[in-house]
Amino acid sequence: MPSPSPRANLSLVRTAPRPAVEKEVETDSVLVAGVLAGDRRCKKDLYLKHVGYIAGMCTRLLRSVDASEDVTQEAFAQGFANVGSLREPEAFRSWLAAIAVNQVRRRLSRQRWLHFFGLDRSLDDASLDDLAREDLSVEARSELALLDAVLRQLPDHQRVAWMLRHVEGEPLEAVAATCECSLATAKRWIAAADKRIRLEVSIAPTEEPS
Amino acid sequence: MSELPVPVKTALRETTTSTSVARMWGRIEARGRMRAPSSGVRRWVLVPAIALVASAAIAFVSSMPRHGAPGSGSHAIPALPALTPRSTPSITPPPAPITQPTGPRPIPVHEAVIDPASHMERAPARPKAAPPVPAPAETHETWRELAARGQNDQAYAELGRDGIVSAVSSASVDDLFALADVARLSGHAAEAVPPLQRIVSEHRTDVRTPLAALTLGRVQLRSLGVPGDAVRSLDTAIALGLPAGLAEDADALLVEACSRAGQRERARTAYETYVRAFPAGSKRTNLERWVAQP
Repeated sequence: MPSPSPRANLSLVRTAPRPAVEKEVETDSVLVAGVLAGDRRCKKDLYLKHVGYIAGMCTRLLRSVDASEDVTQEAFAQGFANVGSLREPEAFRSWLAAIAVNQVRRRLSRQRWLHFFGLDRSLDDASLDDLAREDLSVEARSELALLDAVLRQLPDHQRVAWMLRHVEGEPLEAVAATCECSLATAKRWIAAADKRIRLEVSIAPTEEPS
Repeated sequence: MSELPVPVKTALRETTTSTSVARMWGRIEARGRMRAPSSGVRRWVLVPAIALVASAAIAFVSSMPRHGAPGSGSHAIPALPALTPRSTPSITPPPAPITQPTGPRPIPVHEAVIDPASHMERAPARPKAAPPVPAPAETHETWRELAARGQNDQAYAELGRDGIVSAVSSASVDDLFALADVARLSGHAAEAVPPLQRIVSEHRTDVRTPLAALTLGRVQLRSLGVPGDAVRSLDTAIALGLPAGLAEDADALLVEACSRAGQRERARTAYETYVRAFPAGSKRTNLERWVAQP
């Protein structure tokens, strides 16, 4: 028997985009309040506002588009289910990112075990060089491939922290919050990864506070 | 030598497409619709149930026959002063226990019970054992609730061993989607197949069936490594008619599935179909590699 609103879950494909001006004025606080009040449009707007960031981050961390979609979907589902517990609605993005990164780390851990037992069938279709911009030079592309190879050898916590800082460009405080660790720990993880990476990859210098 | 910029993200392209955004939103919406009953409803069901169980347990405990004080038929109420530790040296004599004259000794607290005979007189109508109270029927709701919160590992555990397979036979379409998600997202991809297959085979007219077939194809291809089965599922998805946003994914997956299944000619045909339908498709370069593979 057909469901009552059969096309509802696919409607985004055909829905005309809302005027950009309207979206600009709606802050996360307003949208979160709308979600809490049961406004479906706010939920969708909140999703559309952050899905690019969350999905992009997950893709780069997991090196897989499929896995990233699963994690992104999970993060949003969990986020919407628990949005009532969010104390600072304006911090929705970082709160959601923390949920997503938590999921990423669980998935990476599971993959490591599956790999250990030879059962890992996940597809690495989104390595950094795969994701390189079309106009990027061959040299830069090869540096990306090298960076990807070094990142793969790092422990998950170091890799995630370093990528959040230097691939995603998040401030240290946000990295610490997303990784659910102290600022000092985040700095230590990033520094350890950085030391290893800069031995092999040519990357622009950064001024990291000690 | 070229230096990578920081943040490195600036050297990378966007990873999300309108298709993937729509697909994920569809799943999130589907999950939202499959939410468990609201906590208000649960409270109205659970609180009386718990109260009923608690009162039945109290009735059961209080109606059990107890061993009274040894000796006489005294129905001595325990004398609390007798609880004074005997080992403690005391200067002043302990207060006299408030006991019936017939009581042979003060009764320690663990023996301080009401005489069964008198108790039975006071409450003769009480049953000796509480009637069995059926547990609230929440097993089914619990896994759904956990799944709706994204706690798929716990939902899977709640369903138990072979839980998904056994639940499939009586599940609605919504439940079948939820079961497939629980299996897939808890790392048990093989168990996602039966619910998805049931949607495809028995709910042909449901408009979400093409989505189920597409998901089945993806699971078979990417998670289970059975490209031959994936080809069949993707063929079904395409034949059932996918919306434009998902059709590109299905066509692209079909090329990969055919190639990995060793169906070289079929892979090329599928690739040509993809190129005709999506001349500027983002997956074209990647698909060329699948077609070009020896």
